[in-house]
Amino acid sequence: MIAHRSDCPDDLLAASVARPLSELERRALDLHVSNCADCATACTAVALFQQIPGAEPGDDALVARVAGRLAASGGAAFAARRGRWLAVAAASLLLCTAAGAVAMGLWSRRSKVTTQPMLHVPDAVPASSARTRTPPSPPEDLVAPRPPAPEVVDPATAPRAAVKLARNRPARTVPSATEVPGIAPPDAVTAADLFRRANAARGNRQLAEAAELYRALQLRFPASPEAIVSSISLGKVLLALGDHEPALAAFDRYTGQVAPAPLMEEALVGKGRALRLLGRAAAERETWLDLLARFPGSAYEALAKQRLAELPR
Amino acid sequence: MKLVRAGRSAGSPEAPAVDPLADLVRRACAHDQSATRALVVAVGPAMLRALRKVLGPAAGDSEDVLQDAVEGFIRALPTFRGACTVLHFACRVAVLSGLAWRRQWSFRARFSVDAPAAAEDAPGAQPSPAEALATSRQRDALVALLDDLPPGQAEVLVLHCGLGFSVQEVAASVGCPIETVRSRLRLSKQSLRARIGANQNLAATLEVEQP
Repeated sequence: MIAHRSDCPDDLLAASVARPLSELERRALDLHVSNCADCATACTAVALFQQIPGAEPGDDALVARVAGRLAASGGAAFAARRGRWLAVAAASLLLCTAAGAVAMGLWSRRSKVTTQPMLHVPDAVPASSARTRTPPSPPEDLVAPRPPAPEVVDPATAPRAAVKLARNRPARTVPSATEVPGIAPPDAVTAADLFRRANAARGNRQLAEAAELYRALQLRFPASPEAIVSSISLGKVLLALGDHEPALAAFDRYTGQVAPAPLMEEALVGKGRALRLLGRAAAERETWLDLLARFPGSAYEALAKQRLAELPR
Repeated sequence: MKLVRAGRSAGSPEAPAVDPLADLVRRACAHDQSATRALVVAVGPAMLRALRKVLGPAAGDSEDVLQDAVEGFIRALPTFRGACTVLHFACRVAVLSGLAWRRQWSFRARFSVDAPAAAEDAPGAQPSPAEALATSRQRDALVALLDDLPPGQAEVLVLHCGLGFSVQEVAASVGCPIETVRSRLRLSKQSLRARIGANQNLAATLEVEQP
């Protein structure tokens, strides 16, 4: 077996990811792989990548949540980035000023203490100590996404758009003080903490625990944005648990709110699904019609139309 | 074989003359919120799949990472020149985002405890617990190897071997000449092989023959 050949059938290898190869293609690939160690390794990589599940149940809802938050934040992402650059520039300026001041202080103190004429440049602040401790950022090219450094948005100092964006996002998975046993009192839990824990439980398919956490969130922080959004998450979890009636109630809570509801489409879809499982055809029909009327061109249009076609008139 | 190599991969269509998402991109760039939302809904599932290939099967933070990737995608839209499809562009942003997350957050440690994967929950044809564990270790070992590769090579490897992009599609997405992509692909394969060869345990885990 040779290490590498110049005629490696790279695209055949990639094609094997997207579709089953024909007999001829499979034989050609096998023949090559038996003589090329690099491609044999690549085949192993392809096989292992294929074992990683691409799609999972609940992906649509996850994407819808992200889309909803992004739409709700409006152009905040663009503004936040600009604001972040301004903040970085301001911080750098402050840092330089502070470093300069310290250096000047050292200089003047040494000048006073020593009686010898200054023969060398005084020690300034070491460059390493003047650097901020930021995680290594990857080389950013034009399309590289924002590095996921933990953001601590101070409403008093951060640009308004950044604050808005941060509020529209669920809690990041940055460890909080409340997660450290013995440091934070148990009642220091926040709506964001509960929401994050509930989402994590849901992600781990601990659906009953997730439902309890969503309910606790709604009970303890009923007016929080997390509690409002969690109605949809709770509804979906309850649907998965087979509790269709409580699921419908959860979706109804969201659709019935007076405040602007960026996830209304998702709530209506959930409601429609719950009604379907409950066998309430007339109410389901009304829900899908409501969705189509409120959101022409919705991403769920095809689903709504399909159900309307299936439902008895 | 050269004919095959020259051809493009089936199942991942050539950039059409008119990208169906191009209009949404144009409107999203003009800060049309409904278009932005529709665009995210359209490309989100593909971005999520791409992220999972980079983060591994137990990507518990996938919603957070997806949010970052989507924000990166929206911010990068003004730089999109249509050299590839919008979907390929979005997948590339997702891969870059996933790689950045892995590098910055020591994902290896965080993901050492696997959440059950969807495929493993599906009824029927379930592997035994021992088989599932072995498979899980192999997948973890593979995605951990990505951390050791130079970013450009890791990106090309995931797009090609993980997502099935043809060399031409990778080149269009990354904005590099085809030969550069081939070179990065070759180097990434060699790096993988060298790392596996240097580690008996890893070779055994991945069931790869050592030279």
